[in-house]
This record gives sequence, C-alpha cells and structure tokens, in this order.
Amino acid sequence: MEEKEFICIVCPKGCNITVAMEGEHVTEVKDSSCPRGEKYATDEATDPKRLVFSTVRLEGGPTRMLPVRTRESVPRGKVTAVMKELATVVVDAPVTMGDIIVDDVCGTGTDVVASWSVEKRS
Amino acid sequence: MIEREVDAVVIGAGPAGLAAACAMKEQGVDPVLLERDHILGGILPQCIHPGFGLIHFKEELTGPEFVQRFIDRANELDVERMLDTMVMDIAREDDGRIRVTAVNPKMGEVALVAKAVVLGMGCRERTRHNITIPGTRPAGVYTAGTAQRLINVEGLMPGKEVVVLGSGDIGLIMARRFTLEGAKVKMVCEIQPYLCGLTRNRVQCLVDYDIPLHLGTTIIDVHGKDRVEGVTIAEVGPGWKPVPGTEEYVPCDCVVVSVGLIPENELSNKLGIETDPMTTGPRVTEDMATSVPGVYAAGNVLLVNDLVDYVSQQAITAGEAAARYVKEGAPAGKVTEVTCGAGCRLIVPQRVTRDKDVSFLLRVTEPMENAVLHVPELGKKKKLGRAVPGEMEKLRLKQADLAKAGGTITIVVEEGGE
Repeated sequence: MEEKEFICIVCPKGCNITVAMEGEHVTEVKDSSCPRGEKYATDEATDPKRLVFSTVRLEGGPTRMLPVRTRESVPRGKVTAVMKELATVVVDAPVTMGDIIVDDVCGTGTDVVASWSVEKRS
Repeated sequence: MIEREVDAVVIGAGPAGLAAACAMKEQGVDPVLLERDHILGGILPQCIHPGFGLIHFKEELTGPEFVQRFIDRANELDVERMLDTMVMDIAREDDGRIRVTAVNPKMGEVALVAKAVVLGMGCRERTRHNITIPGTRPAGVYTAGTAQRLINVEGLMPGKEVVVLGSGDIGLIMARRFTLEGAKVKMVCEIQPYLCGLTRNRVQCLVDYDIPLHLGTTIIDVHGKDRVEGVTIAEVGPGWKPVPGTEEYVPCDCVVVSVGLIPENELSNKLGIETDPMTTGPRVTEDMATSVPGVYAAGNVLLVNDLVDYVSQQAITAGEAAARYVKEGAPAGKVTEVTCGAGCRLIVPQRVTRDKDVSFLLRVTEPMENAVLHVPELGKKKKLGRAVPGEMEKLRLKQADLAKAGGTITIVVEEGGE
C-alpha cells in the first residue's frame, strides 16, 4: 500500500489530506475535514482536476475583456488546451452572468460560462 | 454647482459600498452611491479567480460573480448611483450634516449634503517606492493589481518574463495568471521566511506550474534604462539586510510587486476622523460608526480584510446603522475601548457599546501553534489553535459579558502550550 499527501485547495483552510492507494485505486482518505476535501484528494490521486478562469474578448461592452470560468473542474492536463481555445473567442455585449460562452469546452463535458453581466455600450 | 440634500451618501461602489447602499435602501433610506470608475464593482471585476463568497453566499464564486449579485440587488432596489464621479472633498456642516463635494464629466462639480455617509473607498497597493527598492526607474514595474487590471480588464500583457516580489495571495494568483497567458514567471521572491498567502495558493498557483518560490529573498536592484532588463535578488539576514555573496542577477522584462495594501483614508482624514495606527483605518464601534457622528466605514477602508465576505458583513452592519442614524439619530450608550495587548496586532471594532453581542476580527503579531486568546477584564478565554498573522481570527463576545466591562478591555493572545 502506498500513501500520498495532498494540500487541499477546495477552500482557504488548506487541510493536509493523506490518501492510501492500492495500485491505481484509493482505499482510504485520511484527515479530510469535509466531503469536498475527500473528493478533491481522491481526484488528485487519480485524475487531478482544476477550475479554469480566464477572460475572452468582448465587443461593444464597457470593458475590452469579459471574465469567464469553467462551470466544473476540467482535467489538469486540459487546462492549457482550454486557455488556447478561449484565446480565440470573441463575444458581443450584452452578456448575462451564467451565459454559456463555450459549450463542452475541449471535449471536457463542462461549459465555459460568463462570470459577469455587461450591458451594451451606449 | 449643483447642490442636493440627500438622506445618505455612500462613497465607493465596490463590495463594501454596494452592500451598504443595498442595506440602507432595504431599511427605507435612499442613499446616493458615488463611484469614480465607469463600472460598478470596485476591484472585484478584475479578480476573475474563485475563492469569494464561501461565508456570505455559502458557495465559492469568482470575484465578478460575487459582486454581480450585489449589483443585481442594487439594480432591483433601484439604488441611485453616479459613476465616473470622484469625491474631492468632505466636510461637516454646522448642523452636523456631511457635505460631500464631487466632480463628474456630466455635471461638473456637485455637492451632496447628507445626514449620513458610509465610507467604502477600499485600499490601495503599496508600490515599489513604498518599500524603496533601489535601482533605475524603467517601464515594466507594476503593482500586482495594476498588472491584474491590464490583463483581465484591458486585455493587455504587461510582460513576457516576470519576477514577482511578494508571496501574498495577489502575488501568487498573478504568477499563475501570467503563466496561463503565456508569460514565463521566473520566480516569486518573499522577504519573510514564510509564505504570506494561503497554502492552497502555493499549491494551485506555484506548484502546479513549477514556479520557484524563494523565501527570505528580496529584490535589491532593478536594472534597465527604458525597460526593465533584469533584477538583482539576494537573501536577507537580520534586519532585512542583504547577505553579501548571495546576490543573483535575474533577467526579466517585468517586475510585479505585491507587497501589501493600505486603507485609502484621504477623505477620512479630511473629516478629522480618529484613526487606528495599527489598521490605519477609522476607529469604529460595532455599528461601524466612526468618531464623526453620522459617518460609518466598512471594508478595506477600515482594515485590509482577508475575505470579501467580511467586507460585505461590515458593510451591511454599516448600512443598517447609517439608516437608523438617518431615522433616529445617534444611539446613546456607554462605551468600552478595546485595546490590543501582547500578541494581538490589531482588532476591529476598537470601541463597543455594551448593549449587544459583538463579533471582532483580529490579527496576531506572529505565528503561534497553540494560540489562546484572553480578555483579562472579562475573565474570558478562547483557544485559537494555529494562528498566523496572514489569517484573521474571529472572536465573539456576548452582551452579558460586555455588560461587566469597564472603560477598557484588552485582547491578549499567547502561545498556550499543550
């Protein structure tokens, strides 16, 4: 049996979580103080995931860029691909928070959504 | 000049100002919200990363998402706002009302004479010059917040090869942001022997992208005539003095300085508000009332908060209290001064009436493993456990206990052992 240690990034507490592994499988998660931490450590040991937050070009709005995020975490190895995809996106104002900007980004199964509402510049 | 009599003015439409204005409006008082930027939201629209709202909304939001909820609420409540409006002066009239003089491109000079004011000006960043980094003064040296605005709002890249000075959360988050946008972040230097930001940000911002962290290290020289060409870093010894022989030249075209925030209190000082030398913001009561009747303060103008959630809570308290002041005038009540004893660097509120339960936020002076907080005058003790200066501690004192207090209570934090 192998043990791996992770610092949880789910919330600002930053718990140290230990995961016991049997080959590729997680057998036990120790010292996590919440279910979200347990899930984070399990994912981190098997398939690390990250939320991606960035910006896309905005036309006709009050600012040049619009903040966006992935709704769910994507595999850590796909973060760069998501960033490259977002660099090509241009959206027109108005936009409402939660609007889908990129559907199923890079085949990750999660959408990129607007995290801010903007009106059309008058 | 346009002059108007109003119930209340809120200065600054960041998270503090928005929450205070909404809270007032909900109490039936009509504030006018003044904002110098052309959009609402303060700093949060550029804080595109998550980590906001866990306390206030019980879910994790990005900065824009967090503040959009308050903007939507302000729109629902039809809070009157003036954008592109810079407050130039603030003064107390003979009748006790507050005159706020501002300018904007549409109206020119405008004076609002208000029964109550909530200060929500937030804070500013310390710059390279505040910490006197020697060297030339080329282009390419930015505060972290300025770099963040350039990238996230203006869509501009401030540099390609970056050295970050300061390991607070903003410095760590910007190291990741530069990397994701294609820049090479050479290192993060931190003069303290420990990380100043949250551990999770070391993991997800530095470790994930193999960005080296140099503790006990600072920039001792900036090179380049028109544009930054590099920096000299060195380890520091006692008294923050560079250790000879540890100097290293690091080529870069951009230096990002993330070395702390200072509450923005030029207007508070103009009003003659009593300030706390430790927080550098106004001294306030549990209602967020300053020493000038009718003037309240909330958010980072008061003290630099760890979490925007605390800002919103202070602002709601301030907004509700300001609304009560507009309707009923100042509350009477005996006052107890709250002072920092050993181990306690700062605390808010610094003054309490003894008629309700009070929540405090405080910072310890140094890292402690088993910190115990004492209030000797009340015979109260609270175990804090691991406590570090970078993370605020919370304390709640019951009205029944505060009623026993005299003119002063002292907050002492010490290592408690086992």
